[in-house]
Amino acid sequence: MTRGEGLRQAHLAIYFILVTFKYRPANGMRRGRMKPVINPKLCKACNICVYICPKKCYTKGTDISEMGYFDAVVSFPEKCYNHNREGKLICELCVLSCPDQAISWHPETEEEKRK
Amino acid sequence: MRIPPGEYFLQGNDACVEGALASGVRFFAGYPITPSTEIAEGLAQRLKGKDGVFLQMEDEIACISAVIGASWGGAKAMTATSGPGFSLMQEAIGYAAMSETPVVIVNVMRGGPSTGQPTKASQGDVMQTKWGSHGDYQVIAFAPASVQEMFDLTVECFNYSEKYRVPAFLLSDAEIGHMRGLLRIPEKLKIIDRKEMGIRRTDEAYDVPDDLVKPFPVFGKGHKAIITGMTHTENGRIEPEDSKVHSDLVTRLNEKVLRNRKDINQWEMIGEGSKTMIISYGSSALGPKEVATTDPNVGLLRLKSIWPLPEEPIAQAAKGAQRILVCEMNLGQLYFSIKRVAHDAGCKQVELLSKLGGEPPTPSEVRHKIRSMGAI
Amino acid sequence: MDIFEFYRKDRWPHVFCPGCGNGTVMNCFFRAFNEAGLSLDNTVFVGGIGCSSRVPLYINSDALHTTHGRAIAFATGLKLAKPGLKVVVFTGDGDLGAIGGNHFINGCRRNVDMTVICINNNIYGMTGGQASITTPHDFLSTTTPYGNKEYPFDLAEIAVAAGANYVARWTTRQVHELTKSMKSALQKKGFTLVEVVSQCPTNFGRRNKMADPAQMLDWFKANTVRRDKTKNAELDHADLNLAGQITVGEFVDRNRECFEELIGVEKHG
Repeated sequence: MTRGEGLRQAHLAIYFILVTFKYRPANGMRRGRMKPVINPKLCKACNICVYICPKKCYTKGTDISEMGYFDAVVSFPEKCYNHNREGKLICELCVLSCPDQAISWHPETEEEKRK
Repeated sequence: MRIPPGEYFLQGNDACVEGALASGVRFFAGYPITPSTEIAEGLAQRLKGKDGVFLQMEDEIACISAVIGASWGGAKAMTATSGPGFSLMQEAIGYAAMSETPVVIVNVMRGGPSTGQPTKASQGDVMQTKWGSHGDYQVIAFAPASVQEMFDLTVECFNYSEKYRVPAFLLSDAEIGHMRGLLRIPEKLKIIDRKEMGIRRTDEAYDVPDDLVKPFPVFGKGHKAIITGMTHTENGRIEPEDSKVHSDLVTRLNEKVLRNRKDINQWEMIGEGSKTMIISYGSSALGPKEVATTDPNVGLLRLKSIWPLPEEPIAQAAKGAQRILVCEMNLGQLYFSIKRVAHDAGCKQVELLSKLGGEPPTPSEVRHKIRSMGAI
Repeated sequence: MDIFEFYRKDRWPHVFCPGCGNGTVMNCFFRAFNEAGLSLDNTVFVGGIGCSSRVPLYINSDALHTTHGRAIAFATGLKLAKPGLKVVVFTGDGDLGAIGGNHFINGCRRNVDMTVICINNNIYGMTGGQASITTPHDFLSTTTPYGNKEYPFDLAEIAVAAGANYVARWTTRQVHELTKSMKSALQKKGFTLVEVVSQCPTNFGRRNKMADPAQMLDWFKANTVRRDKTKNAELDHADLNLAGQITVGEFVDRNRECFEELIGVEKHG
């Protein structure tokens, strides 16, 4: 292997090590993973979130909620732009557009991250 | 700035301006209309900088709206108008009654209906003052009959509107407004301020536990008050569908004033106990006053407060009288209510001298009418 | 500030229909208010009558719910009696431009320091869907069952001509730009107007083949043109119909003296 290739491989190795360690802090919970959550007490099933999300994270619901609406469902939280961001969130079209303030951000729990 | 105590020779409208300034008015919104424009012009001169705010608004509806808004900002606020502008203000007056906002409205009455006689007097807005807006509500109204009373009753308007959180009206007319006379401004004046929420007051006026007047939440102090014209509960929650909330609220708004009628009633009695009584108010009491002072058999009950109707002094006058003459510059507005009270008190002959055309009834007209009623 | 410190938690869920644009405007407003660093204790919200004017009743602050169309007049008196207060007016298209038209243009002219958020849903929603002064030509409503024969107002242009200090129009589809505009409006001295073209799927959309809120948002997107791209265009942007367009953007940003400075009460209250 040439010196250039060796350097490149070393860079890649360091990069992968850093990435791996960055996402495995001591308490077992991964930092920075956020997902949108729909509050079933507030959602009125207008489906604006389904329409507006540029990554198509939401789908129309089929189960009736306790308030009597077919609430939208967060089907693909990992597609969301904010999934790996901590600190300043970008996009947020769903949170700002939801007329009932039913969408909020929560950190992902252990089980969801391992999916 | 208020003028110092003393004697002055002023127009009625100017005396009203002095009365407002003495009460502490800090906001005036007006629109030019004869014969009340002098009040707006006087306050435009005096309310500047730290003393307060004068606004000429785009129409009378904006005037009364701005005045109500200013009252919620904590200022004593007033507007002045005449017949056509008064008709425009009715919706907001109903709002002030429903939201319990203290405001003072001066109505310098002129010949109506519609544009009518802009420069001549009448008393044609008396019923409109009480019933002008839709729904059941109570107001407080005073009728001055001299330049001095323009000052005194303006101060009373402010005091009562603040005390009972109700719109108060000064029902002047073109005669009294433009008349010039002697004004004596006393050293000390009784000024009442609103019962503000969260502030403890030692004034005995606020010690009445069941006076039905709720504490006033001034904006900007963290009270998080909701003020609305819709049917609401105590804490501002809007409940238009609840019939009990609505009937309780409207009943309280009316009882608040009616129950305190004895405190609000003001009148002047000449020749108490006479067999012939004249009941009148405002500038139409000027002629009867001369008749009553010169003729020992004729008495005069001059009402200074006309809403809520002061039934007690009217009943008292009717008890000893054989005949009552009501003098008004309209086709009979307070006449029918006075007639009802007098009938109940025992006097069956109650007649009306109505004078249209813009001038108050003269003493000879009054004497002529009394003679035709059977008095000497 | 948490969203339910800003809004009265005991009044949620609110009475607005599913998909109503009012909720979106409230979200953007909350963001803008937070970013502008204002305090709820020093702010008063004034509303007229209508769905849009119900928004002040949901905010955890002093609220003045006034008569139809007169919100700006009430706000003028309130602001001048206590100039230290921040006054925000929530109103609708009919409340502002129809019955409140006189107060609207004179408020812009007088330039009292207040922020007006006009939620323009092109209809009188609360009373059941009657045509408004901003209902597009040929559209259906309960009082124009054969198509609206009148042409609509352009409220933002009227405000510009009347002298407001800052005027912007956005739709509920452009939530980020709307938030930024609201923040500029809140921080600007003088009469500021942010007009939000918003969806009313229940009373406007349903009668005009756009019953789904997503369809109305699509309609906005298809017809929206950024104002800086149409400055030289010959299209009459006052005409909001399917062949026309909704011009969005910041219309004017100027620094006329506000009324309190002119009469000298700025430092009081």
